[in-house]
Amino acid sequence: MELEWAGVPSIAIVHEEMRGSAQAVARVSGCPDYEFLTVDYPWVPIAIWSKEECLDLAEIMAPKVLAALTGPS
Amino acid sequence: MTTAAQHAYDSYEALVEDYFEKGWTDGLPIMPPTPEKVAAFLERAGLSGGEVLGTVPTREVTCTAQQAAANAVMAGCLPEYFPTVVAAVRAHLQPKGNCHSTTGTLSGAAQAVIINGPVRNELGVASGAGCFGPGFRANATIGRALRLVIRNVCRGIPGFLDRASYSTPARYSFCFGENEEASDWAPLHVQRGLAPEQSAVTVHSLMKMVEATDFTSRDAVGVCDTLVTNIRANGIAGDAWLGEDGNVVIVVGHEHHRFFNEEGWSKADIQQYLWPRLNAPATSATDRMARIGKPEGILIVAAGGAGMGASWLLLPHLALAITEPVS
Amino acid sequence: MTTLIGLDPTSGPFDRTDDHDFSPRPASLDGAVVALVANGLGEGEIFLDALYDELNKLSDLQAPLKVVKSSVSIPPDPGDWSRLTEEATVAITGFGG
Repeated sequence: MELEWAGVPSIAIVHEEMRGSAQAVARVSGCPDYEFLTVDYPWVPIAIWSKEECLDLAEIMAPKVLAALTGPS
Repeated sequence: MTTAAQHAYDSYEALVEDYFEKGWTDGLPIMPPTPEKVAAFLERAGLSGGEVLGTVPTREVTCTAQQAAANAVMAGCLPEYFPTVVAAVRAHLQPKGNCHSTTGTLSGAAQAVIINGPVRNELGVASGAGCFGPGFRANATIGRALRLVIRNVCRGIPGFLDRASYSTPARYSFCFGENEEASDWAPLHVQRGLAPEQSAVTVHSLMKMVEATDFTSRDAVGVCDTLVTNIRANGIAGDAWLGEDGNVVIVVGHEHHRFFNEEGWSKADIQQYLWPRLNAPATSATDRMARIGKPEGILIVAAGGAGMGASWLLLPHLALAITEPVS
Repeated sequence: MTTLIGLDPTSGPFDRTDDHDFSPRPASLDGAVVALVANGLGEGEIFLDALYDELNKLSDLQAPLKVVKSSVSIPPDPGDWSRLTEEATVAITGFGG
């Protein structure tokens, strides 16, 4: 979020189970509407992704990241 | 003069139920933080209500003495406990006490409050048999006061900024004294540069606590080797931000302590024996490096009662153990 | 009837009043410098590297600006922060677990 405020469009990728906590940080930081991209089960939380899951998820998430970081011209 | 919002009730029960409803307790009943009681606590510590005890920048939190006093009253403290609570809050809210990470982590790290110096005996802080558990008002309420501050002031609320997968019963309260009378060992606060007559609090955030049992060793080296084996079974990763100052706390139990006394081992002797062995390279998944930057980062504390051949290992989370004087 | 007064023991409302604005998004990432901010947990770097490769298939990116925090507990180092704010077009990071 600090990057966003510094003028750099940014996106954070969060597991769905962590959305509440991520939103809590956004809320106390004065940015309650900050959008997160989420990953849900059957994918496990981010900290325990295997290398293979990282590669699969990168392919899945790339279009979503592109959409989140770009806007209408 | 208080600046906190005030709420009026027609009974103790109504107040307690409303505090439950507002999410201001740890799930147990609290004592009412009346303006009079909070003022008495502040007076006892010689603090104004607006005195800042610490901050948590990532949470936009500034903790004042008044907020700490309200939570100490709620925890069931006596006024004379409050200077010790203040020291614990100050210690935990030091930058490298790392409140944000240690109270938000999935791992459910707990905060051990270790009390040294004359205040232990003045307040009746238990350091012998049963000292980790229930039955001692000072232990129970000083530890609880810190946790209520973490909850109510620092926003460490389960499901909000506390993300613990399980959490731990130690988060209700975890406070004990060092049994300074058990030997001529330099007390923890003296090892950390304070005078023996100075009371002090050390707050150590722990990822987990592991019992190192050893019923068979009959000498200091045997006990030390057991400590090494148990710490290395878990490993300590170290952290670039904490650098070389990281800690592990070893609470040496009565039966193990005897061997050190008999053979004349000081705390420094134990530190010197353990340090290279903890930092030796891993040999297997169950014999891992325990990265402690300096021998004096191994904090030895004497506590506990007789009978059990065990010591306790308080393995660190992402924080330093911080010692603050009680003033 | 006896009135019992209890003080609020909290540090106040959770919500701040000084809401921040979001940065405007570019129309595309063609020519963009994508910052990859890894917190050092798990296999986060592998994921971010792979994500960059996938994004580069969708857009014509410049070389990534990769920052690995020295600890999960702290923001990027000041030098890294300056590079991020001065050189990055957009940034990607992960949150906790």
